Amino acid sequence: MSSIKIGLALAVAVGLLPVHAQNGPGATGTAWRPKFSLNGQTRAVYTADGFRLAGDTTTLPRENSGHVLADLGMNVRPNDQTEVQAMVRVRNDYGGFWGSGVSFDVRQLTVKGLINNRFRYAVGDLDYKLTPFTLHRAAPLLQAGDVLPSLELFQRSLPGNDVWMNPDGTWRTQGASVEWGLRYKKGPESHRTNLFAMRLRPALGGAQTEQWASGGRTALTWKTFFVGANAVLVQDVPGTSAATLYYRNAVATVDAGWSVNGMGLKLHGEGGISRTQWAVANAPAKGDYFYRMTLSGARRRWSIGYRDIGPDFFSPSAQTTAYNLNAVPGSFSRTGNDRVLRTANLMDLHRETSLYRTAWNPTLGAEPSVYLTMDPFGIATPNRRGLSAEWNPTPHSLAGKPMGPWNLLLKADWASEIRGQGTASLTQFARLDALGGWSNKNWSVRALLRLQRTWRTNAGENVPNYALSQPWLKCNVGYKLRSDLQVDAGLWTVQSVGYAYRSVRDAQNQVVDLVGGEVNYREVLPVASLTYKPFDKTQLVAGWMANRTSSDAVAGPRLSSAFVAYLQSF
Amino acid sequence: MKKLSSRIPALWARRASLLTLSGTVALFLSACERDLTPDGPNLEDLYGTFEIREGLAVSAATVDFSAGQTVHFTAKTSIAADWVLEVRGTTSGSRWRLEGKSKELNASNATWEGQTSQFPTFAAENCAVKLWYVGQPDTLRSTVQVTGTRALSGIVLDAFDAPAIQTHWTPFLQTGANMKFTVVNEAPRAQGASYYRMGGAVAWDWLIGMLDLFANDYDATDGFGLPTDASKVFFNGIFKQKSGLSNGIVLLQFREDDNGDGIYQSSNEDLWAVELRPTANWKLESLKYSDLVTLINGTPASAVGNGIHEPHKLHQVSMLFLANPSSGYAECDADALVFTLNEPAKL
Repeated sequence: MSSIKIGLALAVAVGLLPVHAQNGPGATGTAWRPKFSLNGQTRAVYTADGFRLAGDTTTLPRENSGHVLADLGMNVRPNDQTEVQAMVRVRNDYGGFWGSGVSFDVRQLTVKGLINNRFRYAVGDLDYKLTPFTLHRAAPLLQAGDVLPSLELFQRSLPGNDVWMNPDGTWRTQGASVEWGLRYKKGPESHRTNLFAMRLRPALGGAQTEQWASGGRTALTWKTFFVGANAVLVQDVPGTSAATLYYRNAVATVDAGWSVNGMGLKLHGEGGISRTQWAVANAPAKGDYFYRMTLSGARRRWSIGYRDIGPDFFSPSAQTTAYNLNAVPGSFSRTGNDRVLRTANLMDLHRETSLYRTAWNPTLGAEPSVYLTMDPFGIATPNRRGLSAEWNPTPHSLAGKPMGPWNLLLKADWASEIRGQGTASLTQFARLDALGGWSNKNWSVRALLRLQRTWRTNAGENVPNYALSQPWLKCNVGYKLRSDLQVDAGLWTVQSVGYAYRSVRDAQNQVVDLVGGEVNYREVLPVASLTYKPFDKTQLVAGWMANRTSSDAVAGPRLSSAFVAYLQSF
Repeated sequence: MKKLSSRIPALWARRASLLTLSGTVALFLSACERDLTPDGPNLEDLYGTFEIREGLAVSAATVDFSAGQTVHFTAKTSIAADWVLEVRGTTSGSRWRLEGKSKELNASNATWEGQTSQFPTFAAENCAVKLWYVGQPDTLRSTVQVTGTRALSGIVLDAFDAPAIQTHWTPFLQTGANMKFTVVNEAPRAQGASYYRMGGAVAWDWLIGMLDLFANDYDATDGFGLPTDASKVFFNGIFKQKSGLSNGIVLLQFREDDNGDGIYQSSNEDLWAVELRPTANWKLESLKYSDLVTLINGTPASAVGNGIHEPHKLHQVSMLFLANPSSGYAECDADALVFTLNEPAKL
């Protein structure tokens, strides 16, 4: 029988535990911390937007908006074992005054602490994630590589901040979590478990069926090996409404990693299953499996991987994208003489909170396919099987930082459908990313060239071939005028040209129609900015961005926005 | 003692972890079979060349809907196409229209049970059948002879046919000008030979007149005889507004006896309602009982009673006719007021 060293470990596993809990009491040693402190951030933003569309005589050409807000967080530590974080948001839109245009919202309320010095808990607002296939906030359009600093700053500071979109892929939910760990003298070095329960949807007096999510992770770690089991269960609560049919989705996975120390190789894999039951009569329950294996080289300078994600593998907490480009943007929402709702574009995506989801979507829905088709729902996109490879030939430190002025990262992906869409012929997807950068004392240049192709041939007599090309180009040139002052100019272009098919799904993810047609879409997004960093954690950014789309050779709206933003955290 | 107590949960935790891992792997291995039948409609059915493979055919030359018979239509095309099927009564002028997208019309997607899309309801008459495909020049034609019309089924409150108006309604009329609360039979009719007309001008109140129907008066033993599941109960009626007018409002109210004491108390029992603003053409309105709300001055509000839709406790049905007092004369017609179960009425 193995002897046990210590009952408590509370080992911090980055990415596996609630983000806030990682900073909880007991995790950072015995450093003195005050019983009461204030934290938060302030921001002041003003945008002057312009709009032009040929033939449109009704839409007003200018829309200005701006606000100043403060997130005031109160951190209370009534004792060494407990921490309470409460945050209110005070927002005043420019032009408003007290009682008009001013809003107060509770933005966060979390209580966390230690029980018996063994179990860490958190109740209230939780930022949580597990693995990319179980619980993870996917945002494939925003994760192609950091190239345009002004746009990325806007996305992080405005919509990203408003919906608690953390860069590590956590989802903000409300519920409770508990976690604990153990260390061993023999056998595995340690064991770690965390569990959660989150209320996703209230019943509102029976108006809708209450929905909860629960699950967690347990993992054993050896010196060069770990294995973990993960589970997420999303289900309606019977009896909370008059409904007699209930939604239920269960995902269970196992992940493992092996590090071959002598060779610097790392092997990582995850596989699992899902089963989904719909709250609709006669809708068959769906179940499927997936697996992914990755082998990476020393210092992570190369990796190759293979994935197989079943067509009926549904994991709403991993496949729900952070954004919803089918939502209507708030800026110039109705345009044209017939006042049609405007389609969101890349510029809107980086500015508008209304385009972001705050809850998981139980159905896949429809993602716009003008930007990418291979993985519109992230790495867990169902019905994909393929290879990926990554190579970073430029030297890096052990910490992963580039050691010279040059940096280059090459990625290649190929995937195929597993189950055909309206035909036994399978659609193929290929993507090549070249992300490069060069910098010296004052200059910095970054660029991403993405080449994407989607194709399917011989699906049947008279059926047009699927042949779509979607190249991207993102580039930025920055120049440091002083140590605290930088000017940037960048460009993002996207094209989608060829013949494409779109799967129309019902609420149970069943494909009910396939719509094919010629695609000729172009989008250009130039951006220029001046960034001043007078103090630590403080930025003043002024600039201009624009967006022009055209579809089927017909010019779409021209949008522009001059902006100034003052951002500070404390 | 302390050492022992800390060992037991630790060992349990490790074994539980291994058990969880083993169980998940076993589940994974048991689920390794996939259905690879292509998703969605066949692409060749959607994107080939359009051709009519089989013309329009009717499953029977005559049909007697009063005897429960149905008739279906068949046709085949080379690809799935948007189609429109229309049956028109050559005497009554009534129409039934069905739209769909498929490669084939058959009993599963093109069966006619004698119902109507454009009133009046069909008579015993010869009917012309027309099928066309959206974006295609061809129109296919056929005929079918209706020998018996569809009977009004369900829990019929009133069809305003013989006897002209059921005696168990309790009417109330305001004092106003040109008041008309009566059964009429002038064309255009909706269902049967006659219908109910509500008209008048009341310059001092929104209410012009109303009809109340109490459960005990409808059936002293069983009341309205509705089930408990509100999602399976539909209230149906055909309504029309006098051409050229738009000020008439039909307010339907459903009062429940929540506590079962035999009377409705407005202070603590539910009253569900819906406002209709009929158009100049007859239109069938089918309202799911569970979708009804509480209205206060036309605005949705919190329920007064227990807030649960309980059709089996329905105590009173009221049909109120309203108009803005300053808007002058208003007139609306109603016909075929009927509760149906599980689905909207097919008239």
